[in-house]
Parts: sequence; structure tokens; C-alpha cells
Amino acid sequence: MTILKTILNDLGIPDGRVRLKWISASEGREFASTITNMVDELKQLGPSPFKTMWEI
Amino acid sequence: MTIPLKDGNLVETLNGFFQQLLEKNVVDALILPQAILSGKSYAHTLVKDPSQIKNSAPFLPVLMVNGAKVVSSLTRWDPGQNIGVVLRACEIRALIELAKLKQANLDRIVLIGVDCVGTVEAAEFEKMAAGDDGIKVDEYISGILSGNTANLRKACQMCPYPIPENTAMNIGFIGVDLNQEVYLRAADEVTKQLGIGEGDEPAKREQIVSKIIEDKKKKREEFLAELKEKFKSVPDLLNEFARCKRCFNCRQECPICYCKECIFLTNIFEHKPEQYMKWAERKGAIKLPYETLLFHLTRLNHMVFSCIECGLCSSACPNDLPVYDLFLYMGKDVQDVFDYIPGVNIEDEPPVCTFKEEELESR
Repeated sequence: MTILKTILNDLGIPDGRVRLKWISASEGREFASTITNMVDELKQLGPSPFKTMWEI
Repeated sequence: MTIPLKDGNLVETLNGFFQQLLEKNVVDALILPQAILSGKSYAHTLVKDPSQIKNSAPFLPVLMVNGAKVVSSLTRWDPGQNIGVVLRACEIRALIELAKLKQANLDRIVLIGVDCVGTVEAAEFEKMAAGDDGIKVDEYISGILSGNTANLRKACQMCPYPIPENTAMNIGFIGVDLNQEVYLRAADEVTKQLGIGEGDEPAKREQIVSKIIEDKKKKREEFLAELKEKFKSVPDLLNEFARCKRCFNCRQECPICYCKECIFLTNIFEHKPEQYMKWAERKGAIKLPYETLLFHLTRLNHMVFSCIECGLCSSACPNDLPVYDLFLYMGKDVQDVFDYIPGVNIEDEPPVCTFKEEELESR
């Protein structure tokens, strides 16, 4: 993840757009709050720069 | 110490040195670059019979393949004999990375390093060799040392490793009079066994080497600053790499890219027709062939921490893409985060081979 994030940071893609978290099947609440937080943060960041690009 | 030239002939003297390594059983076999027939081309050769060392060419300014790959294929398991391999610094650094990644084994390998002040592209080399006299190695080298570096491959122009490290012995030309002698560094027992080598380290060698390293480091820093401007965003990258035709030559030539089955050759990237239609519909338009950028980003992510900057990726590119530039730039940043310099210290574990509970923060 550190390698990937370093590469993406160099290209101007902020950390928050990529994340990795290990959550067990028994941690339903943790899973829900992680996704909710990520969606909130992504909404603040706005649409992905890739959305309209002809590649990726 | 130095080896005096036999009858003033550099190639004959080197031939003699390598022949003795075999004849006196310093090694059982030798991998060394030799000019092929006319001298217009050269290749790494695996030699058992000393009489087949006819045209040793360790100083020729060209790198057709990274020799680390050659050694990797010979050490998939114990070759049963000790092999001396004659390589320049970028090849040895790649080989060290491959050994750390368990793709080569150095147990049976005796590393023989050669000085290198840079190589030219294969096509340029052919032009140089086309003249009646072929390549005059001494003239070529003194030309480069006096600052005539425009023809060098870009990677070589900023390579701060003229002298290979981690070797059992070194032969070299920097700081010696190539009309008189060749530099040799080897353990006393080896020089005694061979009965060659005399005198001290040539007086000017250290000074000239430090100057080369200093100049090239400076050039590398300047180039890295340029690259920071060149690769600022994903659209910058797409602009630079839109010409990629997915020939995969860069991956083929890369000494570090060792996967037997590259993920880009698997059916993961063999999409259904409706998938392409879906992407085109969602984005309005897509570039074909698709995922050329993803290919380069994936390769970066898979191996850039071990990139030793030999630049053969760019040399192999038919469309002249700045692959080396991209890997140099990203490699520097990734390697800095992990405080890792590939190919230098055999003891340093590559970042992907170690486990740390906490992820490092990217800078």
C-alpha cells in the first residue's frame, strides 16, 4: 500500500481515494462505519479524475 | 595493480587474462561479453574452452541485454560448477536484486566487475562499429571522460556507478593508460595463482572516479527535478504514454521483472466485448488498446522498489516512450520512503520481502 500510495501521490491522487483495511466478518459495525466514513470523505473530494479520462 | 598490455594489444591482453582464469582453475566456466565474428555485434558467451576466448569485449560501450538475466537462468538450481561472470555495475546491481528476490543464486558465481562510463543504443553502436577500423575503445573512452557524452543512453548519462561493487575482482580502464596497461583488483591469492598484476593502484584512478560519480549524481538530481514537473498528474502520464502499444518489450527487457506469467498476459485483462462497451458508455469514449497506462502503473507498483535504473526499458521501446524517466522518478520516491537503495547492499532486504506491522507513511 505504501508503494502504491507513493506512486499515486506523485500523480496528484490523494491518499483518501485508496485504502486497505482488514475487517473480520464478525465486525459488522466496524465495516459499516468504515464504508460510511469513506463515502463521506470521497464526497468531499469530489468526482474521481479518472471518471472522464479515456484510460484507466 | 595493473596488467601490462601484451604487445600493446588490449583485446589480446584481456583474452589472456580470461583464459588464465579457466586454465588455472580460478573458475570452471566464464560468462563474458565477446564480439561476434565481424565485431559489429557482441553477446554474453558461456565459455568452457579457453581457446574460445577470441574476442573478449568487456569494455565495448553497448549493453544488448542485462547480464543479470543470463546469470539468473544459469542458477535456477546449482549449475554444479563455479562460474565467473564478467559484468558492469548495472548488471551486477540487477543480479543482486534478483538474488534477494530468490530469482538468482550467487553461491556458484564469482563476480568479475568491469568499469563502465556508459553505453550507447544498439543502432548507434552499429554505426560506430561500421567504420573500417571498428571501435577504438581507448579513443571512445577518453572522449567520454572529456565530456563527450551526448550519444550515451540517457540512463548512462546519469549513472553514478562507474565501478561495480560486491565483486570478487575488478578489471578497469578508468585512470590507466590503455595503451600500456589494464587495471586489476583481485585477492592476493588469485593474482599469485595467475602470476599477473603488478604495482599499486594507478595514481589518478580514484580522483577521476570521484569526479565521474559527482558529475553524474548532479546530472541525475537535475533530471529528477525536471521529471517532477513532467509527471505531475495522471493526464501528464497519459499524454506521455498514449503512444504505448502494449508490446511489453519494456517488461521483457527489464532484469527485475521476473514473473513467469505476467498478469497482463492472463485472462484477467482479456475483457468481454460488453465490458468495453460499458466502459465506453460510462466515460463517453475510451482509448484503444485499453489499459496501457494501467500496465505501466502496475509494473511500477510491482517492481519499482528494486529498479536499478539500467534504462533498458526505454532502449527496448519501439515508440520511444519515457519508461526509464518514469521509473527513475517514481523509483526514487518509493525507495526514499523505505530508505532502500537497490543493488548496493546484499544484506538489505527489499521492502516487499519484509513485514512490518505498521504501514509506513508515504512522503
